[in-house]
Amino acid sequence: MEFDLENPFENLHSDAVSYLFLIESDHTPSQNHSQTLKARDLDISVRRELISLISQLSCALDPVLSYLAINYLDRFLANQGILQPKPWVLRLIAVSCISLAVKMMRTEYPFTDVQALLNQSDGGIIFETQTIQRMEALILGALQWRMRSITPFSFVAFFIALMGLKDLPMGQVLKNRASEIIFKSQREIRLWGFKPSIIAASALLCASHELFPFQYPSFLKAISDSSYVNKESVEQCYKVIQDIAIEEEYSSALNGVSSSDTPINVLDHHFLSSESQKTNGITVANTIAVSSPLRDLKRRKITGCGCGGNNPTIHNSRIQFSHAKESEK
Amino acid sequence: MWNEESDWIGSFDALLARLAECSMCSRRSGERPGAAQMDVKILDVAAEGGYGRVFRCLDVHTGALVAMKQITMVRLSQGIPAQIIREVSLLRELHHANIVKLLRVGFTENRYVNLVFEHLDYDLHQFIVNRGYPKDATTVKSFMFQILSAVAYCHSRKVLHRDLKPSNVLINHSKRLIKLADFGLAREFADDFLYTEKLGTSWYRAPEILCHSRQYSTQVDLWSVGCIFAEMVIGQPLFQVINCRDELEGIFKLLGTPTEETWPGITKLMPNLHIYCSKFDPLGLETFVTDLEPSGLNLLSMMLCLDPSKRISAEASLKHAYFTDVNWI
Repeated sequence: MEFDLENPFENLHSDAVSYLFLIESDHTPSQNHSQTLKARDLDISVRRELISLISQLSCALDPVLSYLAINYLDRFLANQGILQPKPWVLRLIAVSCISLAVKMMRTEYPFTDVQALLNQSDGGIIFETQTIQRMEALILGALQWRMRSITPFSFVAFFIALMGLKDLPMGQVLKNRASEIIFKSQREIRLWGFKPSIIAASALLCASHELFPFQYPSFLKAISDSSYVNKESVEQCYKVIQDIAIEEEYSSALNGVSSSDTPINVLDHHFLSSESQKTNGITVANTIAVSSPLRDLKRRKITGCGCGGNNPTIHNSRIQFSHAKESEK
Repeated sequence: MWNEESDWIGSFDALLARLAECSMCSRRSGERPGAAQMDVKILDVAAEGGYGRVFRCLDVHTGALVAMKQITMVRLSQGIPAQIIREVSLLRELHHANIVKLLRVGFTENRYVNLVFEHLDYDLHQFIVNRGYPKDATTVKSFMFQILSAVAYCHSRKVLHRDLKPSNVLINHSKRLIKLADFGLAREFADDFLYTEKLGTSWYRAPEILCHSRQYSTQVDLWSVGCIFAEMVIGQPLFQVINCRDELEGIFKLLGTPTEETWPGITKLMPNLHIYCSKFDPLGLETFVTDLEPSGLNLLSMMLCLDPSKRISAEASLKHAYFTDVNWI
């Protein structure tokens, strides 16, 4: 997986470094709310569902963009919560977070394509522009219009330089693997309250431990010695990320397990994942045309399942894992 | 699904009510829509543009003069405009004496976004046109120092302005204080690797943008500042003075057609460069920018440098000999 991520600290004044560390807390879900959210199982499941929606809808876009959209979502949940969510409300929130991320990150994207992409659905709701606008206004207000992309990716290059790997192939390898780790771990609620810089540092340490174990101690020292980083936070975050990696391997090992009582909507989710994957290779317009007629949709569903060699009865965890992989390609 | 419309609207209003305390969206129930909702009293219309209008207002709490920029959202197909989201998000985190202060943001009637700014007396364009250009060399130097201070600050915060021109430079008359404004085209460095069509106003557009380079960065702002510098000295836009078919021709007339020696990579960037070949020997900046002291002309030539990689930075400009006799303590 090749990511062309930003280099925010290159050719900049030293005060740019302290500046990003200074403001990043404003772009992190509140620590207090994190504790509150953990106590509400409903909101955790809502978050999981919303992340899946955002990943589906934005899988054809830059992965950093979907990361930013999920950041907006987390901060919105921290501020507002969502009690008694209805499916259409969840979808509207997901669409609006993606729309805001697109607007903040780039203007070059042809907007009609984004709109069409956001509104493609398996017989779901197509929102009027005014409806999305009102939800955008709600989200902007809840986030107090702080929409800059201060994410872990903003800090990776800084830590790479700190480890003495700037402009080295080893640095690029670490950066790619750390980025992969950052994307995958965003789903994990246990990382919710950690600042972006802490997540970046921890992901880099996990990547270095995995890829370059003999250099790991010196990398750890370089990061720990930085006055911008709280060592204890990095240790805690590192443990969580390692646990996530372990659980992921465990989940992967269970991929073959199937269940005979899989609900029908899980099958739909799988189909949406497959359909989303196909979007990567074709124009959005074609996708819309293909998905419009219900009969064709059903036929495609069956064919897709058959071609993929997937068992019609599929375990929930497998779908989630499979989807995660697709969204990161 | 539309059977739930009434409930849907109710959910929206409930969410809206929960935002009533948001400090960035100063809204109160019961108040009539319009200026009152923004806690301002409208005095008159200060400017009109394609985006909407700017009103001169009184802040009802402080009695201070403020400027309210009202952007119409009706008939826009994209919901809340990206330019507004960018401008607010970036200004929210830019705090500098030479950058205009954003006081409040709000929505009225779901038709307008209102941005309330501190008020300044006029812009640099008006200053140049209405009062004749500042013959006082000290004023030019002071204005240039303040503009460069603001630009250096933006760049250190990973923000490009991308639309610097005299009408976006505001002036407080009594203090001779400069403030940069209009960050609607501003963006973070992360997205600087995509070309944006028609970016900036033509006479202030950097050659690498005119060449359709797909990569540009902070240097585009320095080119614009150089154009402003020249305009303050000669009293009209520099590239308006040079008679030419298009801006690129004007630039090459003034500075000479670039070669691989003067601008490495130019033949790849401009395969059609041959239509300008041998056509222009440089007329030279000194031909048009008279009455500027030698060190000022030297600084100007480093700003209006064709090769962006050799163009002076804002930070380095502030240390140039032209400013050594400046005492701003």
